Parts: sequence; structure tokens; C-alpha cells
Amino acid sequence: MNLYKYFSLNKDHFIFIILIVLSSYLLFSNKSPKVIELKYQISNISSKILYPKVWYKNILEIREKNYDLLNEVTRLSLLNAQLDNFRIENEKLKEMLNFSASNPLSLISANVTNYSFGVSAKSITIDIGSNRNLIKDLPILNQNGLLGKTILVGNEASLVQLINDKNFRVSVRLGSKGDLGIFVPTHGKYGIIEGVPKSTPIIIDDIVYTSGISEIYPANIPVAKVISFQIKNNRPFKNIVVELLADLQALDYVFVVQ
Amino acid sequence: MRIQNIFLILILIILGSCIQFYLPSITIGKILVIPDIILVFITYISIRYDRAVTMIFAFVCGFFQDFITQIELIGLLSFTKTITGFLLGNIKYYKFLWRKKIKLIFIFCVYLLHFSIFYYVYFNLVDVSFKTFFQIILFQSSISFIVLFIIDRFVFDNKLIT
Repeated sequence: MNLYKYFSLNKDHFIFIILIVLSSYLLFSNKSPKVIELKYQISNISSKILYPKVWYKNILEIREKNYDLLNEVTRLSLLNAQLDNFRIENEKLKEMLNFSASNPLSLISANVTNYSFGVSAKSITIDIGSNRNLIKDLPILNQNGLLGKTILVGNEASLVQLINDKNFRVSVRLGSKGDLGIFVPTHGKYGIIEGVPKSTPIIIDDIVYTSGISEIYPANIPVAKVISFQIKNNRPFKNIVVELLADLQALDYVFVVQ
Repeated sequence: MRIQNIFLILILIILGSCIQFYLPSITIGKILVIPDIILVFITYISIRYDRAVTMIFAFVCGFFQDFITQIELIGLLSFTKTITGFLLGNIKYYKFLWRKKIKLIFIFCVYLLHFSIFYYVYFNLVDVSFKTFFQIILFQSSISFIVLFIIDRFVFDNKLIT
């Protein structure tokens, strides 16, 4: 059957389709709100009609994702097994080197009842003391970092020397190598780190942690962050300026490390 | 198709458009209803000529009517009239099979469908309640059907739809 004959036989339907397409084009090329609403309704209906197709496509996608996830789970299981072996190996090596297990910090929360921000001596008073087994020289910190240490313990209150007190010193570690230094407060929330060799690699925003070489402060308590440093030829150490992490101006609650 | 026939159809298109343009409107509540004379002409064409001619006539008339009555939804009447032309084209195919009653019922149903599509888009079923919507399409279809009936009775002496 040639095309002309086919067209002649279905002439009505061809003309109908052409005219419907033409009038639909005319109608939908309008920008009136009614036509926009109609387009929205048609798209809603078509989405409902096409839902099974979308659903089937989703199922296929899920199957594909499931396969990928299965691969990922297998890979992670292998990695986990490897890490588990490393953990066992690490424990054995620690045992061989007589490493003592590190205990998590035991914290007691306390309310700050009084502030004393003198020119040189800076301290706060907290509402717990020997009634909660507090003793002298216990580290005080908040969620941001080290705040100070107890210097006087009463029955129901204790005096805390703040980290920005002129006489406060703490041994710290910094840089990728973890070199030692001494934190010395200077003014307000700023301080310097003394005794860090010139060769120590440091970058701005490096966090300074307690070194743990102390009877008072446990290791790895964040203290400050590096804001600038200088190297002078005539001096053996770097001049490092740091900013305290703990906000000393808004102290309501603190934690005592026991 | 003969040249006289084409000439007649062209006259009908112009005449229908003119009558439709000057036809008085009826107000139901806040809705303006205008009797659809072009629909009656399409019915006449569908009885006299074949479906392809009816559809083209319906499309052209709908297009003119779009310009005359509502420019906001241009293309809507061309669309509905084309569908109407396609459906009314069946009357000629079943000329000897259907009785007059069935033909009349069929014509009325096609009118109902025509106005349903038109007013569905026109009102979006938001501006009016379903009851009002149904009343309007029934009223419009009835008016057009009555006009057809009168033309058949008094112009063609009951010989248009046999």
C-alpha cells in the first residue's frame, strides 16, 4: 500500500490530528493564567498516567544502587577487617612497649559565682569545693578549651586561676611534629608560646594543645590557636602569638577535671 | 467538491461569524451565555458533507469565533470545534443505520461534550461550582439544540435530520 492510498483511506484521521495539533499549538502558545492552569492540570494528569513507568524506572535504579551499595559494603567489610587487625597489632605493640591505657577525663560541672579581673591577677570562684573532693591544682576547662586551675579550695567554693593570669604557665605542644613550648599570657585573650624552635613547622590557625608533661594538666586539652608567628635571625626561637580558645568573658559553667 | 459547495461553505463561515458576533447574550447569574450558532452550522455541514470538510469548516469557524468572542484563550474554540466536527462527521457515516432519535441524542451529546471542554478550560472549575458549571453547559447545549431544531423544522421542513 503506497503512502497516498494510505493517506486517502485515513484522510479524516490525518486531518483531525493536524487540526488538533494546530489548535492545541494556538491554545498553548497563550500566556494567559487559564492556559497556565490548564498546562499544570495536564502535566498533573500525565504524571499520574506515567507513574507506573517512573515507578519501574525507580525500581531499576534501586536495583542498580543496591548492587553498588553491596560492592561498597563488601569493600568496607574488608577494610574493617583490616582495621581490626591493625587495632589488635597496635594493642600488642603497646603491650610490648609497656604503654599504660589512657583513661577518659572525669569532669565535674560547676557554676561560676564570682569574677575577679584585676590588672595582673585574674580569677573566678566556682560553687564546689572539698565537698565534691576537689583539691588544689585541678585543671578547669569549658567546651572550648583550657580555662585555668584551682588554686584555693574551700568546703563549698574554690578559687580558680584563669589562663590569662599573668603568673599562669602551661606546657603545650604545637605544629605537625608536636614540638613543646610554654604558653605565657600577654594581654586579654592573647598570649605567646615560648621555646618553640625555628625549625618547627607551624601554620596559622594551628591549635595548641596541652603537652601532658605536667602533674596538673592532662595531654591534648585545646588551649589556643596560632594567629601569627615570626622568625628573627638573632633569636633561637620563633615568636608565636596565639589567641585563647576559651571565651573568658562569658563564663557561666565550667568543668573541673579530676 | 464542487465550486458551488466551496462557495456555500465560505458564505456560511462569513454568515455564521457575523451572526455570532451580533447575537444577543443571556446572563445567568454572573455568567454571560451566548447561543452558539456556529455549532448549528457545523451540524448542518456534517449532515451535508463528509467528515474532512466538516472538520476544516469547524476549525476555521472556531478560529474566527475565538477572535470574535474571546481573544484570551485563542485556539480553544478551534480545538473544541474540531473535535465536535470529527464526532458530528459520524452522522453521515451512520445516515442509514441510525434513526432520527438516535441522531438527535448523539448531536445533543456532542454539544454537551463541546461545551464541557470549552467551559472546563474557561472556568478551570475554580471560578464556578460544579453545579453552576453543569447548568451552564446544559443550558448552552439546549439553546444550540433548540436553534438546530427550529432551523430543521422551519427552514428544512424536517428534512435536515432524517
